[in-house]
Amino acid sequence: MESRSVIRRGKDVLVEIVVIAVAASFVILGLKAVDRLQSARVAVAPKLPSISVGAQLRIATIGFDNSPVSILLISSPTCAYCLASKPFHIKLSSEAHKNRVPFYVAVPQRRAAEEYLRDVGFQQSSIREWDDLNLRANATPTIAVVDSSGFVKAVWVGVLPPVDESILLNVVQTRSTTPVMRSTPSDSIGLQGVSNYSFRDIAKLKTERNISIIDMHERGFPGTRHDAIVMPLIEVRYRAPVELDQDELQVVDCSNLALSECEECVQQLKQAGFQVATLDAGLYKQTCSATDVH
Amino acid sequence: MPLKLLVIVWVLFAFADARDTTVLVSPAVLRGLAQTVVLPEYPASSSGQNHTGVAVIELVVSASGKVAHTEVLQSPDPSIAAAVAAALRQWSFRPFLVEGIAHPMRSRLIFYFRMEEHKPLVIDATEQNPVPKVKRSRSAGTSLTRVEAGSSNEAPERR
Repeated sequence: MESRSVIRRGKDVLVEIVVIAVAASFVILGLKAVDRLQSARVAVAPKLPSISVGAQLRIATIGFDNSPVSILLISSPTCAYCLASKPFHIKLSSEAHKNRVPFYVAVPQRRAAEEYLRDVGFQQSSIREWDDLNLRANATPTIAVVDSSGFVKAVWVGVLPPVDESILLNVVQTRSTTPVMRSTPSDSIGLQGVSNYSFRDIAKLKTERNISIIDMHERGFPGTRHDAIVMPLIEVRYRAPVELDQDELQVVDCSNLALSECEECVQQLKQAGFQVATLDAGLYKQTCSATDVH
Repeated sequence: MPLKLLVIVWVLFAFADARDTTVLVSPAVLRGLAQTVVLPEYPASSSGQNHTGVAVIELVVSASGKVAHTEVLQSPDPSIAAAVAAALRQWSFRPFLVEGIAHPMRSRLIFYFRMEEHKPLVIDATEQNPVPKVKRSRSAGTSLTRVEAGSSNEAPERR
């Protein structure tokens, strides 16, 4: 009798173990499936050209010809850095309103962003959805200055340092893109003995000499410039001598990177005999991936 | 009930213990440990359409030296990506030892797919470094230096 109950108990325990193991497997499989679904969703996202200096912006039902300068903020209510920048966005929007500079804000979905938009106090007529734009932002928050023909004159990404905030305020106060062109910013740190440029210097630099911009972030990094060669650090030693031109200045985009990583890339390129400069070294732009928050 | 708890704790420990001991090594180190090397084939469909460029593959090698996982990160076209993955799955490596213990390793290998004088050419950039340039802006790349990567003192077996 006793031995039967022992056997039964043993069976029960075995069943419980199997049930728990199966449940654990289901949880793991479920998590993997969710992960796969999310990657698939990112992969099928439509690929519009990135918003960048020189690109022509079109927003559904909006013309830019009424003002010499317009501002577009691409934001998301679920992006922590957009929320962190809210006070500046409110200030910029109010300055723009005061100076009759059109200020547009684009969010992933207007309905889902109602509370955020109400908080910030944007005018209903200035609110658009990302799908209304012909260009996409790689990351949020992104602010673009647009001229009367719709051409993008400057782009800022992420939480802005005070120097960039004052340039933007200056743009709306003067109703002109001149403050962008005149600025000689770069509060970035740079590396010893290596020229460091700000992203606003790059257009000018390109007119003076041949340059390549090297982005050593991993593929898919949301802040990658459209004109950059993506070459993650681990690949630089092997690919740089083959793919880069010795006669060009190699500008390493060091924004959003630890200085040590930036320095390693610079050293590797120097050892391979390249002339090297950095872009926004030490400037950590806090951004959200636009695909994550869509 | 206590037994149930015990099993749950055991399951949790079992998963917690499955720590990832994979070591990230440089491509040169990985290449230096290669024992069986199978160069990817240049698919006829790709060379026919003049699809050239770089293919980058990430691989995880088990502690015993077998290729456990491959992921093509970049390639000129999907056929080349498939050819690279198929070839790399046949590679084998000597174990990567840390204090005498073999560890799984993760790294990348880089291949160039080129057409030279209308002939398809696959170059293992991790082994052959520097690889001659396609666009020679000056004398760079005219000489071809073969550098054995890594600390391997055994010639890898070629198929």
